[in-house]
Amino acid sequence: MGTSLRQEQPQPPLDGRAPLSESEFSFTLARVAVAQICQSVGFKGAQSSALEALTDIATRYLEAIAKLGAASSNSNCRTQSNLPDIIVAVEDLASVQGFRGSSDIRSHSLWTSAVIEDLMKFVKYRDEIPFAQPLPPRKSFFQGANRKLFKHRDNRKWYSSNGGSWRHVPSWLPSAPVVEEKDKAEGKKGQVKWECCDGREEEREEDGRRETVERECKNEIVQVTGKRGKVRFRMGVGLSNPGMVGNLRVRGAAAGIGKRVWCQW
Amino acid sequence: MNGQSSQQQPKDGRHDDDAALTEFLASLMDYTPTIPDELVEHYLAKSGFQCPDVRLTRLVAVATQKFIADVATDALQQCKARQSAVIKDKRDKQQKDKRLILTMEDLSKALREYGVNVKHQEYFADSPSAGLDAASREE
Repeated sequence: MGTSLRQEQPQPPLDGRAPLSESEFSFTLARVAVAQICQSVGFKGAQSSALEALTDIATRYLEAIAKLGAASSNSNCRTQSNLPDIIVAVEDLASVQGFRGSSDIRSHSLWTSAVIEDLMKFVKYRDEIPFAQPLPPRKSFFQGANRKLFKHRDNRKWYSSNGGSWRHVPSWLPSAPVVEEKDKAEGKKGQVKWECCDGREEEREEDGRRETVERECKNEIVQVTGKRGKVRFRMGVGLSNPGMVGNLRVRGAAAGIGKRVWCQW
Repeated sequence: MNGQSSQQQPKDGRHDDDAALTEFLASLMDYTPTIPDELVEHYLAKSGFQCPDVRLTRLVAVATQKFIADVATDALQQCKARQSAVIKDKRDKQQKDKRLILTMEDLSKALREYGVNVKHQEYFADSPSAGLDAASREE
């Protein structure tokens, strides 16, 4: 019936030989953590079914916080969640039991939330219980990542652990265009060009006679030799005319801003 | 939901709360929750939660740890109460049951207060006397 907590912990296959799926692996790790929490509370053993149920609840609680936090940030037109989102999410989940100040919900300050005060007390008075199994160093999770990134990490790195290929994108799809980092760096006078933000490169370089125009539609490079003549602008004329709208950006001394040019090739 | 609701608060007690919260978040940098950061990040990323700040990840981990610890404490109280109820029974049985073991029935009783309904699977006994012990203990 009851087995010792120590015996209950299965060996997580950190060497990667056992064919555990990702969810099974994370569930196994979570079970170790939950067993440790039970042990710290005073239990000497656990039924495996009870431990699994509690682990299931723990993972669902985690995901519920994540979903509520993400929903809260998304409804505020953000993609990244912040502290108030998490506080709102934790308060929502604690509202089943109720907490001090929950009667005037949403009108009290989030910073003085009783739920957060309880968390502060929990951190202050409970002993730390580090995870029982040895954790791999950060490097193995974020391959090739800079060590400076460890303090300020990005969740998106998780998806692209496989040398730039995204994990959630099917392998038969063509590879995504690579955003050139150097273009951002060479932005004029500390400005970042807006083209760099969405990864499209559409730029006209002018060094003497040679100009390279890279168009976004067909991704073809047109070599233009010789000096260009005058370009005439006609605003809003000839909409029925089948032409081409090129979005040229002139970087010379003549004009510093991008211009929408109507031209026929 | 109004994440910015706190910004309209009066400024009187704001500084103290702000300082306390900042200090708490800073203390999370040195605190290691039982649930590893990588595991929490995995579940957060799975649910569409994006946050590069490790302190907030740990805040979520601490919240989960506290929730589980609360549930486990309640289950422990249920376990102790159940064992003190059967203290007038046989001595040897009490000795055996004195070990504190997380069982499904304690857990389901504890979880009921947290809004989680745990249903046992139907148990079919192979002999008429097999389930009687547990049934009489519950009462």
